[in-house]
Amino acid sequence: MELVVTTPDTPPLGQMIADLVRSNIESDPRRAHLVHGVAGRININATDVESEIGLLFTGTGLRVGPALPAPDLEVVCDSGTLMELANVRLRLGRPDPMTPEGRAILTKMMHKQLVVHGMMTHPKLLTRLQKLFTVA
Amino acid sequence: MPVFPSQEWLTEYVDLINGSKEYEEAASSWEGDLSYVFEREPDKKVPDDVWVWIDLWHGKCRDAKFGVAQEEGEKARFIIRAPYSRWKEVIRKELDPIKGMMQGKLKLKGDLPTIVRYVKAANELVNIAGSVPTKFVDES
Repeated sequence: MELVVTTPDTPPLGQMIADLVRSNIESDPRRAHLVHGVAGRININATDVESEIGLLFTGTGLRVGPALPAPDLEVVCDSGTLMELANVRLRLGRPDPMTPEGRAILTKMMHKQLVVHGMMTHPKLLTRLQKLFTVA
Repeated sequence: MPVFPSQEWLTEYVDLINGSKEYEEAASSWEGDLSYVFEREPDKKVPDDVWVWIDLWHGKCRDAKFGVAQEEGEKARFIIRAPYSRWKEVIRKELDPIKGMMQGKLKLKGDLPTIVRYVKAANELVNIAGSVPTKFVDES
């Protein structure tokens, strides 16, 4: 069974993110465990491309499709910030403040150019997302 | 002024890539070739798909070929394709290529994490394309 699947109505942004996660798992199979054993809903809203997608952690895999109702986490930012998030090194599952890229992300969060709704209530889900997403 | 798409345009583009400090810095460790596909739009004077192959290596363009056969172009590590008029928008800087990919306006074939890692280099390649003095084939 495929770990990461897309629904037929997945927007192009969702296809791109699914491809990114698949490639990251392929190049580092240890990341496969990140999609297991957790249930949760994440929406990513790329404001400048007017695209919102949903990631559903089913417990045995990840399904990427259109935005989900009542997400546990919602990431809101522009497309450039999304690329920066994918390029940031992590420390304890969060952008590493010791790197310029990590500091840039944290600054954007302070200025609300990057908003993550639900990060306080679902920190583990956010960590999984970041680890699956990053290419750094 | 070179017409896009043409060999003359590509030659100018390659010269500008090789003269760009910004690109050299952003792509200093990049290794891999790339095909651009300008998809046919007969009503815009592009009757057939045009394949362009460029060999990029450590911040320089080592070689480039215009009008390569599809079988040859498909061997490239990365392929970026879109209809001719989309490329026009990219060259005119009306469409950001990464946004275009997120919107499905440009299609990428190849290892996405690599493109994401080199997003600055990709943007520089587009900036350079935008700085080639260009006359578009459907406007000539």
